[in-house]
Amino acid sequence: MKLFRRKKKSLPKDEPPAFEQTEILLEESMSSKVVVIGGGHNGLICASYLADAGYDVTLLEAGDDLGGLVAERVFADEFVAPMGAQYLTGLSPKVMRDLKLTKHGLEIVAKNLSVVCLDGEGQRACFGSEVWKSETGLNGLSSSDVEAYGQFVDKLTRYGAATALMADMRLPILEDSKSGEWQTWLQTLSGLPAEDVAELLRWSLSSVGDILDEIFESDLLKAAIAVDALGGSAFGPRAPGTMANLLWHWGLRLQSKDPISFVRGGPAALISALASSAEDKGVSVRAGARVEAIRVGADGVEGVRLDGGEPIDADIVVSSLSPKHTLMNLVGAQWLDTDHVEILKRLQERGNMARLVLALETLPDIKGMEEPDFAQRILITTGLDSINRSSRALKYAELPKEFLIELMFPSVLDPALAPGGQHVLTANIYFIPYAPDDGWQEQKEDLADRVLNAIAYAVPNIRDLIIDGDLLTPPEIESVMGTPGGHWHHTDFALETAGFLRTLPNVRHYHTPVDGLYLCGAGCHPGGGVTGLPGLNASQEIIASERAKMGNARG
Amino acid sequence: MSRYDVIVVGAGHNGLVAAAYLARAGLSVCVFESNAEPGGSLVNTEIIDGFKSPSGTHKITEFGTHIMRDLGLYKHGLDILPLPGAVTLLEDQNYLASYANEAWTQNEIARFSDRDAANFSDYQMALRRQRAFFKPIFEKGAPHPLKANKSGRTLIDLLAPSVRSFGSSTRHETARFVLGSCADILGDYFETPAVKAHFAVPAFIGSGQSPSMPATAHRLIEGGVFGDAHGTAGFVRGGPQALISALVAALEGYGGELRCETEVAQVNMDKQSVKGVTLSDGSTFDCRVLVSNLDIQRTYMGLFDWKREIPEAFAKKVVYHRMKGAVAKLNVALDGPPVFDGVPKDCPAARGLFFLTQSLDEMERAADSWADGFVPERPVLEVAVPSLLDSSLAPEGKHVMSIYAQYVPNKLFQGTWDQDRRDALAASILNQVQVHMPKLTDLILGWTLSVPGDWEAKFSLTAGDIHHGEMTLDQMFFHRPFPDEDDQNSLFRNLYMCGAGTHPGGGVTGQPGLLAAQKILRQQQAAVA
Repeated sequence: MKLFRRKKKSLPKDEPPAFEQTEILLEESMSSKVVVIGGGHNGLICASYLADAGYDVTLLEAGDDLGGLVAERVFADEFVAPMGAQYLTGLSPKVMRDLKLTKHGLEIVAKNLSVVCLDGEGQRACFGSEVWKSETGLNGLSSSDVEAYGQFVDKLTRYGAATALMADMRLPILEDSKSGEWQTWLQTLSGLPAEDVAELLRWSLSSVGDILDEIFESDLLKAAIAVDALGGSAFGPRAPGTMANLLWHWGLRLQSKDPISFVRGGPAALISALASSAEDKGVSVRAGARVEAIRVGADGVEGVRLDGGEPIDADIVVSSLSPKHTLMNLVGAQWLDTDHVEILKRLQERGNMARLVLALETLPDIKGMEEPDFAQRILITTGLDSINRSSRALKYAELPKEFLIELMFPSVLDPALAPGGQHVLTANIYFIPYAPDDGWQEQKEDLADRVLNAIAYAVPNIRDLIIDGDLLTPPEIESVMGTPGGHWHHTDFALETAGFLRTLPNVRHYHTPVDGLYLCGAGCHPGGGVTGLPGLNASQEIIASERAKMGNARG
Repeated sequence: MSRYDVIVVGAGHNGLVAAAYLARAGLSVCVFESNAEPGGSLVNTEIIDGFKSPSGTHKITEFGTHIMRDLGLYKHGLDILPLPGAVTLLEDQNYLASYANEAWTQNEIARFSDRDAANFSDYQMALRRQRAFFKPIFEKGAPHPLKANKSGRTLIDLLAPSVRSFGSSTRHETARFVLGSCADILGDYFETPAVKAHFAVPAFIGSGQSPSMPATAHRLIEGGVFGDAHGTAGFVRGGPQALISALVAALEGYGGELRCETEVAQVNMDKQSVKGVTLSDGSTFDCRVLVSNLDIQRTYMGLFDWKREIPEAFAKKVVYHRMKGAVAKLNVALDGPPVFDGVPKDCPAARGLFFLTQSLDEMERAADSWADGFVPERPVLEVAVPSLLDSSLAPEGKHVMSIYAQYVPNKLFQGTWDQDRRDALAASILNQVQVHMPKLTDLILGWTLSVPGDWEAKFSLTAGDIHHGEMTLDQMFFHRPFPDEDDQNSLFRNLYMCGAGTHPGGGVTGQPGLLAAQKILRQQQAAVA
């Protein structure tokens, strides 16, 4: 497994380190001006690393506040609700360490959150990596499910580890068959037992539903597991490739010390810590600076132009926005190959989740819920069949008739998020099309009403407890978060848009067809979720290739 | 004689291809078939007296020309009638035709969209490129991707020449054809819903998947109706059963035997090695090699002492192999020539296949019903009137219509396939056709309907899956039926599988039978030497 890790280049011991050259490089990078577009977590992380490497970095954020898809919103006066990510998927330990996030105020209050699945009639199943250690974890499962549980988590961990190692490795691209990176990758895979390779491949190409059907009996347990294969996906649990999503998700968990975690102050506290760290590293942050265009000339990128016309020159521009928005809208198709334009056009960057936020007088009674469950991720559904029916809404651009709802009570994890004794409920409603055929105007209220009904099925008195609340449709999330498209992963995450294939053919990871323009957001490998890896990986790639360029120029 | 070199269980086309090749190599071969006739679902069924129609598929898809040549099938009377064309009947009395001749097809598409017509040749080029890319594993088999088999090759070795010889954009295209959805690929080239549906419908026959699902695009590579370099597609004079007759004649010509109405009750073992079979009448036969043309579940659950002889880990793989029937067949005897409204009388494609699906969305809705266990409101139809080209199937002036109805579930959400439900399905199919053929009701002399459960009862196709297992990527290539390192694809020594449940899978290609025969010859020769 260690093969997946890039070997650190050690300097030959008998020679003194080449200080001279380092200084020259440092000088040159000092003079290089970098603009990072977008103040989400990946933009901030990339900016910090580049500033640390000696670049003169300006980060431009269109909104008044930083945060992107990890932002929060205060409503009904004193209630704070995360508007994007409800928890941190698995923050890279390297980012935690290098950017000294703990020192900058990041405090993890809970991790390894489980998924508790409720059918609304009192049945309950729970899934998580730590579940069997808890008293109530395996309640209600058949003996065969209990037995299969541990074996399955072992396998997820084993296969997920193979994926995890890909997450921060320098991935080869499909077109570069001569690259040594492919050899390394294949060799590592060859190191696994033949049976594991075969099963890993079979799982990767299967639907999460088919694999779970082979292993478990409980419909609720299957749903609790499958949900992590579906976040931000355009497909339901019966679609091939969704099992790969689950492995990917576990890979991202495993690379982190604090997977599926909640931080004091809510996920947005990560942004404050990152911003403080960025300031320390010397990044200058400009809020309220919306980039209207990325300026490109014959020799590559020249800088950006802000809304209102102000030009900012830069040697390097890094966009944390989606690849499609960056290249098609900010750069413009005239600078791109037609092949790339065709591919960018069909990338899906529009979100497919709705968000419900409620301020509640007290914690509700929930049928089947046990006390510790309030601190977990709570899923309301009857099982995979219902989820599958719900998922079809996306392909027909209509609203689902059944809902998959994942809710959390952030104020249970951090009481400061709501005034004394009161609580915040946030919920993701899966499979909501960005642009339903019948439009949003007349359907939004109806949707909110039906979602509340679905929640009321498991939480009968929910309506009596509501102080205030709102439901945000995918386009509303897009505008509230200021993130074009508003998709969780910036770009649909599926077999053909993941790993080696993310995102443009014949363009190295984090690079673009425009010289000097890079990408660092969730639209890059290894994709969405709050890991910080796209930002981190991008910064390393930028530093390495800019140095190589200078080396060549010196030649 | 109670001893053969090779015993083949099941006389489907793949079993017969394997048997004929092995007999041709000088081995003594006997094929045991439990039904009265060989051919599995390729046999003709008599709708009413004098009207014959294929029980299952009415067309053969890419049956290997090399197999026809090797086995001298033309000499044994095989006469393939190339498909003259395919027509989608549209609701507004319009139609869309396609032909083996690309220029004609382009003209047809141009009636709907100039852009689609212009893109059609690019689409065809892409399909040709991708066929060429996968040709090595279609022709030579699909070993484990990383672990070399006995012949020393991995899947990656086999594909390496393709990878090297194709440009970088083709590699990305290959990735999309493997991992992407059929709807996405069609959307790249075409904007007209009817054009997309025209190419998608034949690609999904027998499958419960829908065009929007990831990893379905590869079906377009395999699902062309006009054949390609690999093989010939079309109707067979006398029905696909005539292909079976030719294969039997070839087998017998090489000295092989076929015994029908002979059911193999169990396989006799000597430790972990197969040594023969016992028939249901109690007689026993010894053999060096046993080849099963049955699907994986019928092979291991049906021929062995399942509880005692099959280890649990292996048994799970067998049970988890997904088999899902998704297609029904309606055969109709007609009192006169069927005339579809909206298609010009002299349109050559009007003697080929007919589709009635207007858009991919219609396929999606039907597939959704299937997945939930409901009969779709509008099943996706592929209609043929084979008697237009082959007068041997019906009395003079009369005709038979053969209709594949797609996305018909095996297990219903509620109830069973009783007569009422069968009548309702037949009526719904005929109503759909009648929209385009107002005189249909007057012409009908009789019909027979097979639902997935009937395929299982008559032709031993588990769950009515005509492909011996879903053709999804996780069950294809080296996962068909499952991977192993010793290149034998079975649990026991001297046991082989040769049906559609093995690589490269379903359809009437003969390739699984050929690959099995080649593997047996290679391994048995190696064992002798």
